[in-house]
Amino acid sequence: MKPADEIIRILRGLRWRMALGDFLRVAVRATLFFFAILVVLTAVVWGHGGFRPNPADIPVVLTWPFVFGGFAALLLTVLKFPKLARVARVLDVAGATRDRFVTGLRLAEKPSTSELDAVAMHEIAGWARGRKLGTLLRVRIPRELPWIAAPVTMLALLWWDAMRVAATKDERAALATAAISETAKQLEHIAKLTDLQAGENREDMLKLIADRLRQSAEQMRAEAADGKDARKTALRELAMLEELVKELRRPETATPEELKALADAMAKHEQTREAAKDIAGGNLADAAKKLAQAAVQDDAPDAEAVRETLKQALDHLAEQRGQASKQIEKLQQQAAGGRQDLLKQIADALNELQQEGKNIARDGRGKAGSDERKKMTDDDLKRLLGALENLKDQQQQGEGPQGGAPQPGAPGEGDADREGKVAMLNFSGSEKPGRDAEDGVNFPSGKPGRDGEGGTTKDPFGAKSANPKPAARKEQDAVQLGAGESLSALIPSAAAGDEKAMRRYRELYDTASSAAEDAVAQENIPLGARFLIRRYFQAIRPKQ
Amino acid sequence: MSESLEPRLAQFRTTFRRIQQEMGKMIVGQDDVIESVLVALFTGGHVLLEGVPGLGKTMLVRMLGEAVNLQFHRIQFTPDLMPADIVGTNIIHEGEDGRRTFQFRAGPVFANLLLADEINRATPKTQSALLEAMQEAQVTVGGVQHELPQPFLVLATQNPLEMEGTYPLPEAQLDRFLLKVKVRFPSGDELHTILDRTTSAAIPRVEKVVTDAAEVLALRDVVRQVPIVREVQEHAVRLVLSTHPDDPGASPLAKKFVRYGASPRGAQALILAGKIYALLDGRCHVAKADISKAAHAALRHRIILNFEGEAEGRTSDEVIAEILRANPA
Repeated sequence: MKPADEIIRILRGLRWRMALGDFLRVAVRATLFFFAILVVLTAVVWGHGGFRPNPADIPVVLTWPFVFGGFAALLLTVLKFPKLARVARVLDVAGATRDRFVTGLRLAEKPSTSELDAVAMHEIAGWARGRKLGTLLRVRIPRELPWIAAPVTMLALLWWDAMRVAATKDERAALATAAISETAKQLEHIAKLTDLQAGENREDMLKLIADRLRQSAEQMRAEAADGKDARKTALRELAMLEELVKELRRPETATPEELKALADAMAKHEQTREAAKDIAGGNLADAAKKLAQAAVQDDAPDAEAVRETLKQALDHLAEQRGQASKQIEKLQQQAAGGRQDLLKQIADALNELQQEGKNIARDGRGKAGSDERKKMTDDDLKRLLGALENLKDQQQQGEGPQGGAPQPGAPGEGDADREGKVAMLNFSGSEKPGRDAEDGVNFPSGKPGRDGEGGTTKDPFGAKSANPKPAARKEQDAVQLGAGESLSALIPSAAAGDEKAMRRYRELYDTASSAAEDAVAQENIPLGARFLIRRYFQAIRPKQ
Repeated sequence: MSESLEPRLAQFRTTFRRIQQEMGKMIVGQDDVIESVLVALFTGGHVLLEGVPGLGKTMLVRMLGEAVNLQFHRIQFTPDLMPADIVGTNIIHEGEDGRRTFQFRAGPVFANLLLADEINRATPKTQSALLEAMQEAQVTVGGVQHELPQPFLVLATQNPLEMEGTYPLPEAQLDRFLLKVKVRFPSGDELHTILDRTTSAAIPRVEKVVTDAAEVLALRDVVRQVPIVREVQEHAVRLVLSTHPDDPGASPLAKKFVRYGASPRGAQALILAGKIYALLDGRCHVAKADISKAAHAALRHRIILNFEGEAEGRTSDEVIAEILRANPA
């Protein structure tokens, strides 16, 4: 074999060995790189929370960096397959060959021009022939290999912490779910009853509310399962529902109380005094005409003062958000927007009211059924609102998850107690006087009798329990609103003015309060509820 | 293997070693100096020997002359030495017929081995008289060029201590020396040997190794044929470039203390000296190690330090050592 061929053959043989060494080195570095990426990704996911590693997947995950590293190394080794010149250089450095291989390769690559070149090739080939050159290019385990322990350790720590956090979260979620389940159940129960009520009243709005109630229950469960603050979730959902019901309950047109307040404000000025009198007398059409005339006289001396007074009155009414009618709120917004024709707007509103009154009169009996249904729906909303407020109160008082989830065996647990809680939401018929007069739908039922005796039901709309006990049934029948002793009175002069209404109301109150006191003292009413009933009567006492 | 070259290569190695041995009989402890002088002889360069008086510089050159059987001249450089004293001059010659003609009388430069002793004592004008001789191997007198005998080797000596009344060699002339060799003071053992050999009745006798100048020239031809590949040549180029302060690859010391780096003649010297070292090592190709081995002698007189470097007592050898560390063979 020619010396040149011999040198090339030696270098080619050693090139594979070098490629293997390169592959191992690159494989370890690439594996380290992919491990680093895995660590970064894991750390990012871990940092954002919600990282829940599956212990069964860990060996698979640990395998991927090696697989990717091996593949990348293979690719890079093929792409950067060692050239003979590099092999020669490495051999020369490793073997202290005095640049024999570099020289040999270069001389072998070009046609020999000098006699001494051939001598040099002979010398190099002879030198290489007698040596074990494989030892110069030993395939060693890359020194970076132990560094793989670092990312693996970091991953292990991250996984361990993530699993610990996940376990804690699961525990918290379980507690939250348990705590929220009662409220959610109650919401679903109310939704079911609302659905039934919607069927009876043929009212789509109630169906809508029932759906919303179910959604809220689902939302509460989902967030509790996600480990979020169950109490906050419950309160938020309940508050939203409460807002929704309040909004639905708000009257479209101005109420008599609002008209009276508006008339009081108008009575303070000469320009609108006559219109105020017409409003107080219920003659809205005349009042509208007079106000329209007053609006035309915009150059009147006290026109600005009139507007200001009316604006203040409207502001005051609108402050009672959730109670003010939409018509009044619209007027208030127009006044706040700086509309100069406020009097005309009020006149238009009165005309609308008057027109609506005429329509009702014209429709007569045909409309009566609808009105009745509307009233029933309004009553239902009232009771629903009360139930929601009661649920909210329970949450705020710490009966929710944050206040302590119901523990097995702890007081307050069990069906009887849960029914007791639900009973606090219940309302019997809406016909009971005094109940509707006050918007205190969160006022407990106050029905005489113990909860266990079936004096209450789970139905906020007054439906009876499925199978009341006969004794309890009798008592329940006795106290059913409208069926037991009741007192109702209509004060027709109330619309005329404060003085007359107050006088009649005081008489009525004196009669009813003593009877109520007696009933509270004699009937079997829970102590806590007695206090609330007394406070209710104190709250509705006439002004001195 | 080539039948004609092998004996010549063997002859070269044998001749070189034998001359070393013969010179070593009288010159003790200066093996590297002897080697450098022989490198210059077989590459056609010149050597500047630097050392304090009494180290055997003149003796070394004389021994070389004796060993290679070449014509040897010595010029003692003094401040009043004139160029004509070196290269020769035209003198009026009266013939038998009474006609007078100018006849060139060759100076001491016409020799195979020229010892320019204490070259830095002569004036620059006289020093520069050697420029043409060293570079072109010829002298021009009266417009007539006179070829110098081949081989022509200038061995100049200078004393680094006595700087009073001296004229440092100009850079152009320094650059024409292939190597600058520092003659060190011998160690105690070497001194004993010197004393034994020079103060006893039996003075060693140097035998002639090379019979004539042609043999030296033939061996020079062999040296020039030694192949050097691009990678190894690149090493020489890198070493030279590293001495330049403006070069990106310059060493930190070079950047700080060097005013001018080595010239292309420095790279030539590295390669030529490397070829000799390769042959002496039994190889027929130049290795980076050969280049590195020649670096100090070939580059030290070609690196001009700046004021800061001289003020701090830096030497060009320090710069070269750092460059060699940065560019290992």
